[in-house]
Amino acid sequence: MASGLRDRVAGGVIDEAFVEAARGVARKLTGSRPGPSSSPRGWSADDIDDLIHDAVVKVGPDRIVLAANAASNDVEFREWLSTTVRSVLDSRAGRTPTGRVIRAMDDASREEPGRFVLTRGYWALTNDDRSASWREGRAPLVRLAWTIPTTTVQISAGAAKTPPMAYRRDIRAVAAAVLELAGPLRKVDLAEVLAERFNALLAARFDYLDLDTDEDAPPGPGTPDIAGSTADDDAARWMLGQLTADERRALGVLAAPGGSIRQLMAHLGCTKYRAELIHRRLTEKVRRLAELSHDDDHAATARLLEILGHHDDLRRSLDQDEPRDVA
Amino acid sequence: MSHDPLLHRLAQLNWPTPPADHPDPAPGQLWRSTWNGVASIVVTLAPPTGRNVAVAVASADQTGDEGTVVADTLLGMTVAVWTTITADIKFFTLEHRITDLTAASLDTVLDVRLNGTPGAWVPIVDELDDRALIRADLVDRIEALANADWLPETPTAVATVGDLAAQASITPSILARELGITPGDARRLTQGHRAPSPTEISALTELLGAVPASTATFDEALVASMDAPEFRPALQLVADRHHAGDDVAARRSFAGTMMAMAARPREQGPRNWRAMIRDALLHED
Repeated sequence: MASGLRDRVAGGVIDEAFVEAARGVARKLTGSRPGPSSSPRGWSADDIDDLIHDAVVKVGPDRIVLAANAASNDVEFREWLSTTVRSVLDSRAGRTPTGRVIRAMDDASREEPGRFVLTRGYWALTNDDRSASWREGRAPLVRLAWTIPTTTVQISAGAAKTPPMAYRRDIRAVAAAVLELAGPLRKVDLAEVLAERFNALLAARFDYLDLDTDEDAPPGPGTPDIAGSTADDDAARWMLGQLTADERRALGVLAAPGGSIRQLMAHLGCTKYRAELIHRRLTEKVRRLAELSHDDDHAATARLLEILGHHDDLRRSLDQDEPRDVA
Repeated sequence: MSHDPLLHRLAQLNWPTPPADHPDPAPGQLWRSTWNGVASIVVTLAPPTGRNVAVAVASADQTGDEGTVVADTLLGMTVAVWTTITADIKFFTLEHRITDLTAASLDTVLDVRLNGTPGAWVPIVDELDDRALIRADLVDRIEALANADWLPETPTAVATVGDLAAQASITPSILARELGITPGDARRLTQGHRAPSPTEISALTELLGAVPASTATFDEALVASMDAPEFRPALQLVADRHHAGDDVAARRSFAGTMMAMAARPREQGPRNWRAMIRDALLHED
């Protein structure tokens, strides 16, 4: 496949082709998002250009040139560009990973005020009378954090809206273990550990869904709420937000009759190694959902597929109104 | 000159311009490596050995594992070098050099790789860690590149055209007549200096009574010389012009031509394959 755009950017040449490609990506991404405050009626051409300029400055021209060198072709490079612009959009919406996690920690601790205490910007366990003295860096804390079993895989882009059924419990469990080892930690330091543990830093890259979930505590299992959904549906919606784009595709492939790793390799265009990794991750996430909703794995998969089907229908209907990014 | 206001704003930024050249591989160079639609950026770790060069995978993303180093380059770019993802790749997969690591960064990379000094990130201990997906993608790519080769695979058929022709008492001139090729070309077939084409294989199988090994034996020094990155652009051009973009077919055919040229009488002394390849490729520019 010809790589005219990628070739030129890899050589440090920024021309009309790059600008038009970036505009195409930005228009597609902003289509379903509210416009910036200066343009209450949507995204103007100037707003789009400002967004692209912000993205280039934030990422840095050097990383763009490197990414073009690392991409196999134009399609891969455009995907990278799309991820980059999406990150900047998220960031503009006040959803920087660390900020998100700080809010999530605040929410989680509010539910157990007797367990955590926030003093002059430092989180600590309430029964911990040590002074802040952790000097070993973040690495041992992140390593410890990964040993704590959780149901949550990824902190939602809209953390404050995530159902607390498992999410906040997981944050509290990890935060407690980290504070137990480290003693009092600055708010931002604890957030950085949690961000690594809950994959908050790479959310844009793997295209996690930002499903609009209910902030209030869910009803008991199987009990219909006012809107007609159940706690199990909420759990499934929440777990859908824990799947990467490739895992969502894998869900459909593997659940179909005769679905196999070989088919997954063909569908995702990857090797056995990566297909097997995605399969194992997906199996683990489905198992966690099954535990939450007291179902078996098949029922959990079916529930995810049903919601995913509705979501895809919605996305398709939105996409029809947006300019296509033709590689 | 464009009057696009966004292009004008972007042009004010400091864009690095990689040399995109093709020197012989040496430790500390950052290359774009590609073959058969797969690409990766790699850092050369050691001088080449034979056709191979040891590399570590690099990434534009600022993430990694316990063996990943943030390395500075002479162009001012920083790359994440995953010293835990290394391979021996053939250096014909090196498409062009992007830049070089600074001497200090290369020292750090080698220190982390050889001495296990901790890198910039913590280990990936759980497959649900999203970095595992990034690592898998990089491993996928480097494995594809490490397995790339343009030489024919080890043949399943054992007997060569020469073996079978000798057994059947078929001379090169008979072979030439039956296949509709020149006697010189037939001699190259029997001597293993060129591989039979798919249509020739079926004719040979009928004539010789068995399927011949479909490999050609190329001079090792020729192969190593053709692998040099300096020839990649011109060989790519040959592939695009004469082999519908098939790099493997282009290289095999070109090697056969070079072997034929080398068979002609020449002056005493070692053969300078690089000079011969350069001369042959001059016509393609």
